Amino acid sequence: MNPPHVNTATATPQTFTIDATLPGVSFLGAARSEFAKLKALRTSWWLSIITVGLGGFIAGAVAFSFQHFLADDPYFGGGALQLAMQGQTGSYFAMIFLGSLGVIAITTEYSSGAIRSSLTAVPQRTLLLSAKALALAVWTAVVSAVLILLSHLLTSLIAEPLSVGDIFDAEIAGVYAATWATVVLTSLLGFGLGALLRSSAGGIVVLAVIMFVLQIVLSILYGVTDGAAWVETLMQAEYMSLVDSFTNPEAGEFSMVPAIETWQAGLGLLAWVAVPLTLGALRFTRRDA
Amino acid sequence: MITAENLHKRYGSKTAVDGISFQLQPGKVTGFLGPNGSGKSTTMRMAVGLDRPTSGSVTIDGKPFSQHKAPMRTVGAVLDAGATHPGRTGRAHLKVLAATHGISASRVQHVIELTGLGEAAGKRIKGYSLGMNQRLGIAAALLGDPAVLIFDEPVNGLDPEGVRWVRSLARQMASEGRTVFVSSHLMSEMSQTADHLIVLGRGRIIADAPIHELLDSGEKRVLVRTEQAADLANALVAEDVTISHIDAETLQVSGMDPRSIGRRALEARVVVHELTPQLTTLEDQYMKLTGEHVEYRSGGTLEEAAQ
Repeated sequence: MNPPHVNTATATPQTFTIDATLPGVSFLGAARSEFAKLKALRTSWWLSIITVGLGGFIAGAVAFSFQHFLADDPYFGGGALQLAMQGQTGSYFAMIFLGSLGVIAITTEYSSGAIRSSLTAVPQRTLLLSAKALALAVWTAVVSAVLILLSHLLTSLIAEPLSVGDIFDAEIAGVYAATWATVVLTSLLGFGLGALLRSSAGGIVVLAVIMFVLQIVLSILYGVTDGAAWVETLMQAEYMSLVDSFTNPEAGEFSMVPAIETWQAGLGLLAWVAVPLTLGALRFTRRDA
Repeated sequence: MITAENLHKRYGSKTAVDGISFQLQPGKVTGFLGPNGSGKSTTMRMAVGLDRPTSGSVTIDGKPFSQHKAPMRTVGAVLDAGATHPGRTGRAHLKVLAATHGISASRVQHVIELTGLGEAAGKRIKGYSLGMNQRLGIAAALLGDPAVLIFDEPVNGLDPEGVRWVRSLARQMASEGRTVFVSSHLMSEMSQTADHLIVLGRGRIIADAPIHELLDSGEKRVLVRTEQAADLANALVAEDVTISHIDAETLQVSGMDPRSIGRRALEARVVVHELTPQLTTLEDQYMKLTGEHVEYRSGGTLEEAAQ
């Protein structure tokens, strides 16, 4: 008797069914995955360590020189608020470093090709991009909170008249909260630029132009046009000027153009971040990966 | 099940995929065969939503891939070795992907063992060989225990043991009722793995048939070695039989099966010391099929080029 002939090509195959009780893709899962990516990236650690280290160093240096001036001149006009703000100078560096991290958080996926793995796991592109943005925001929020607290601690311990407990002073806490928000927003600005340009170098250069070059160009333009009103408006809407108006209660005192209201500055900053983020998201969701 | 309907993809003025339609069945390994640049990878990329079709559609179980609630459990794809971040370890790469679907650490460990990554899982991907990268890609594809597997040129860079492993993996996955879609530009690879073949040339389907049909449609040839080649050739002469002399002792016979050749040899009292059915017909079929469809053709011999 012949054994039954089995032909895999013609036998009616069973169909494999997916176990529907197992979890599918979720926003929280995707955000956790994106956070793990940031954690696994050496650049994240380097940029964050430099941010906190440099910020702490600057805060210490500011505090010592403040103390020095105070010893020379007991009437040196620096109150606790002044000192607290000066102590947070490191946040400007935090903006460029964590803004660059924002750029790299997305461009590294393209330069390495990992984006293809990411998108085959999470093909819902808006979900993937939002999860990425959230993970980045959480990371930079933690790093900048550490930076702000460390700077406060160093300044208040080294110099008078700021004391550790002044962090609960409404005005000082307000400055810290606003500074914290601008650092996180700037990292998202970098993220938007990265999504839009898909190039680390391009994204970081544009970020640097926004942060450092625009104000110089506008100042020159202001001089050339003899202080034209439209240039003044542009200067007020310029990114770093908005940062100043938003974080510094005494903004405008020493600048060429008057400061705008804090809430206006806050809206302006949101707009600055929203534009590249929206354009970047559009590009991310439409283009071939 | 993967279904493509009138799928087109153009990059600028270049047409990569030119209106193809097919349907892949679960429980089978479907080979996707074609020369380089024929549109295989583009088609696979469109299936998982990396590229958008210019027109037409490709769906998985009736829905675009991105509309599935559990993409990793629906499709596992290995599109190119190296779709990873070089600074991460293999295990970190798998864990990052697993996190999106809440896949357990024990499953991560399981696919690491299954694909033979072993020790390498703890090392940075930067130092991986092409073969290791392929194994990592396959591990990532298997993480979700998916119903559909898409492998683009999976044996590239693998050692012979790895090649055998990929073949048996593809077969095993199909036997479990999964849809397995494997591309290659090598017919010999497909003939050992696939149940069904879709042959692509210049973005168009030039054959879509079970592999045995493609084999049967080919000319059958038999290699015969004998010290009395001339005598045997005379004995075999008949209508529809073509005999070519490879060398003094070797004949290639088409139009007659080995059994008949052996019988004729006995009748003619010719001693035959080799009688081999030629298994290269599939390769020949492929060359014949794609002959007019290759985009890059060797431009001649090196001697010609040197002149």
